[in-house]
Amino acid sequence: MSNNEHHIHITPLKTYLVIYFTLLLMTLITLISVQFDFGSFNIVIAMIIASFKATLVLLFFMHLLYDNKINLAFLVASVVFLAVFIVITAVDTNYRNTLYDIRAKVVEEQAPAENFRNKKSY
Amino acid sequence: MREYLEKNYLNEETTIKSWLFTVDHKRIGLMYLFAIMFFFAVGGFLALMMRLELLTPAGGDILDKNTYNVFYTLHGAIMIFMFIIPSVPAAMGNIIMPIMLGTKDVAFPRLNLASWYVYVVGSSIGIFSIISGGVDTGWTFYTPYSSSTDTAVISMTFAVLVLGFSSIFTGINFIVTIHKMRAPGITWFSMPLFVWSLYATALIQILATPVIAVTMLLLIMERTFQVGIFDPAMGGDPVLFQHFFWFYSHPAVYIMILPGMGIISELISTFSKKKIFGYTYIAASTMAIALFGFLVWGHHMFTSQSEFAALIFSIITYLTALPSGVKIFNWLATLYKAKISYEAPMLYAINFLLLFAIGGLTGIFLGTLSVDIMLHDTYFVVAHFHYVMMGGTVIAFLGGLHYWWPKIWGRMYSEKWARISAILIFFGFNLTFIPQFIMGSLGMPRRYWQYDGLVNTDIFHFYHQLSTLGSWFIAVSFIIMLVYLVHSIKYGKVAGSNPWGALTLEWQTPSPAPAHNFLEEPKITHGPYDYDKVEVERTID
Amino acid sequence: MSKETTPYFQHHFVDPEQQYESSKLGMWAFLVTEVLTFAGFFCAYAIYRMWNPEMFINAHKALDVTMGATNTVVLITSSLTMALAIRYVQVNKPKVALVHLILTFLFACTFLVIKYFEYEHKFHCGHLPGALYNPHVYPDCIPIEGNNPHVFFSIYFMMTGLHGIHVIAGMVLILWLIFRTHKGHFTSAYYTPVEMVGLFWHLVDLIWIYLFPLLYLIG
Ligand code: HEM
Ligand SMILES: [Cu+2]
Repeated sequence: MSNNEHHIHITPLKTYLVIYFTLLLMTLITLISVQFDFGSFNIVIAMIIASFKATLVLLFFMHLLYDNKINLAFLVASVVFLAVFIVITAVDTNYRNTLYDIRAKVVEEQAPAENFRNKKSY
Repeated sequence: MREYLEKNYLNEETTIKSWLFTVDHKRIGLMYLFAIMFFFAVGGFLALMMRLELLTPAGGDILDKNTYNVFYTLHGAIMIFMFIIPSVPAAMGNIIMPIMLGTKDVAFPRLNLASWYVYVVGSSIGIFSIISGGVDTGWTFYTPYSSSTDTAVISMTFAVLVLGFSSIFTGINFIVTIHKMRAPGITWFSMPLFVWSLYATALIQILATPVIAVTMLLLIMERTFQVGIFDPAMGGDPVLFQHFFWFYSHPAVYIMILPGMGIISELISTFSKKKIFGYTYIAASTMAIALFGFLVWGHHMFTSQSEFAALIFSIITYLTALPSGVKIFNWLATLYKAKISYEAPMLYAINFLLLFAIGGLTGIFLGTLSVDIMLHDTYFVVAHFHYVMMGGTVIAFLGGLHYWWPKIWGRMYSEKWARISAILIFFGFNLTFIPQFIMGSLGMPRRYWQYDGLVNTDIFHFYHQLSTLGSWFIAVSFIIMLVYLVHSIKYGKVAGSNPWGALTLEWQTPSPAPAHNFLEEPKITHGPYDYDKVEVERTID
Repeated sequence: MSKETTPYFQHHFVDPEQQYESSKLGMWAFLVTEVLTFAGFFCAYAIYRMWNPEMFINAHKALDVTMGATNTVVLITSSLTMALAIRYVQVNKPKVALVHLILTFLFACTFLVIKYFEYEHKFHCGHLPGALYNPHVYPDCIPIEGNNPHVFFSIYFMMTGLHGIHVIAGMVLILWLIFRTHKGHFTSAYYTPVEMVGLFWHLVDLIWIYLFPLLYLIG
């Protein structure tokens, strides 16, 4: 446990550069992919590419690949709970109109700002 | 060791500065302890006033209606964000946990101190809000009322946001301490269960607290720029606010209860001098509760969300009760055929078992979708969460306080008075809240300032009287407690290092502990609950 | 980390290795809180986009893809220079590391400048959040059809605003690193702060990796 090489993996310069250019390439691919209309798949494609980029950054730039795996576990946990939050909330919102029509209303232009402007308390 | 350690963490340095800039986890914990007790007193005072107002069905006996609204909001907000959330982790846990793990300090002592200062700043902002008129939205700050009322919502929500950071700091600190700082020989499965519970709590703190910060931020934005996320008048969705709020606040109830459960595991094992039954199951159920806690927030929204989501949330809510049940049965199994010594901390543990069982079971009633449509926003809910939060967490906190008091100060309180006040609290508590269950099931709505002219007014009147009476029993027992505890700091009998004959590591160091926790490296020769193998002498008669 | 102690060793730890590992785990725990902070905004985004798909498509056309894409490249590059800075302290070349830190700082400035011009244009067109939303009919401003476009701009400004605050915080931290590297505090035996700030900076980049397609490239 006592010396540098044992624990600290020093990523070679070349790896960093390869990752960097892959990231740029992926950005380019995203930009191209939105030129085509895949309907609702556009966002799926965009998110897959973004997640691929994110994974590269995490594994190589942020060294998760070589690190103590507990750090990775924390990151994964955060993403899982982020997903839980968004997915369940979205499920509710999507099923909101089964019995009653409950929808956010459309605000006319120039929303009624005056009644807020004169609030005194903070 | 039967003596009082003359040179200890309390008196090694005595200047004010040495306290304000201390990085010693015990001192920081102690400063937290004083701060939260102050806010507990404030919150308690507000509660007593509300109970007095409800003594008669008519409104305006001692509070006018706006004041009443402000009082219940502040009571809730203060008790939750300023008292109960930091109570066990940041105060008790801070003092005890590093000693239990045999380390000199938490991983980031300065962050620990920062957490206290952030807490103080957050609370001060809260006080500012109170001075500028208070808030009348309820501690849940539901939109659209909170985005349109004229009271000081912005400062109070900002206070909650800031307090969130202090909670996060504590959480980060505890996670790292438990992962990386355990003394050699202490493995994950030979840590005291209190530490497990703090670990699970810390996980919830870092995973959930950021969301309340965002929620409060969005609410502030809603009030200042009318961004239209939560405010229906601007095209927003108030139910979305409830999702945001409860995504934090349901896990937060486990931030409140889990450390309390951890304390109970310690108490039960120590005072029955038996190995805790099913250590692994208790540890695992702690983690399971933390996990499930994230999946059930919708049970607070049965009346507002979609039926489909409500259905799912109801089912998962049932599941969360399982791990709590596992704990209760493990504790009972530990007590089975044990030679229990009924000293004050143990009285609190028994209090806890009874009260928490009631609180948890009524939670199941509420988690039943169809039943909750009836009971939602009645006194039944009020009684439920007081049974779990006061009957559960606060009682466990008091148990821990009495248990570790001799470690903190090196002296014993009066056992006789401690027992009197523990029994009195039990009595007063039930007198206060059982009537609320009954009233709630008869339809008494919560957050009402007067209840004149309802169908059941006469019945409600009777039960409200009982409830108010009970609240004064609680108040008296807290005053008794304050007196004997403060008295003991100076005049109590010397406790010695291990007044209870317990096996966890904090009892191997003298009382009060020296500045760096141990005079010599602690030796781990047995597990925390090995009462079947080892017997240690009590340092008090 | 080597066993030999540096002046930065804190004595409640057993050895520098433990100190290093602790800092790192602490940093990751902090990054968890960051992810969940942004979770709130991503959630709001998802819900409102689900409700008003057309409005989102129309409103996003008011954003400038070229500027957004440029900023993506700028941030990715700054991430590279940050990663290299860490690498160079690891191999004990603090001077080279210093150059890379300065480069990172400059890229961050570039990001903010570009962001400034974007915001500038939104103000000019009155494409502002919530009650401030007040679209003008200037020739260089596109009209936006659909329900409640002010919500899109609320979300846009809050997400990029919070991200921008993180960029600024990162810049302050990088400045601090530049100062300390210049003073010669960091060697291959001790460079924890460089690595921690690095992690933070990469997170800022990560969030932008998602913000860019979500806001600028809808449909
Ligand atoms: C056995 C597990 C539990 C279950 C199944 C449960 C279930 C519920 C349900 C369904 C509600 C919503 C009632 C309504 O508003 O109509 C509720 C409210 C509440 N519960 Fe629990 N609960 C449990 C344990 C706890 C614990 C351990 C705590 C705190 C330490 C707690 C604190 C609260 C609070 C504060 C509220 C009310 C919040 C408000 O509306 O102001 N619960 N509980
Ligand atoms: Cu709940």
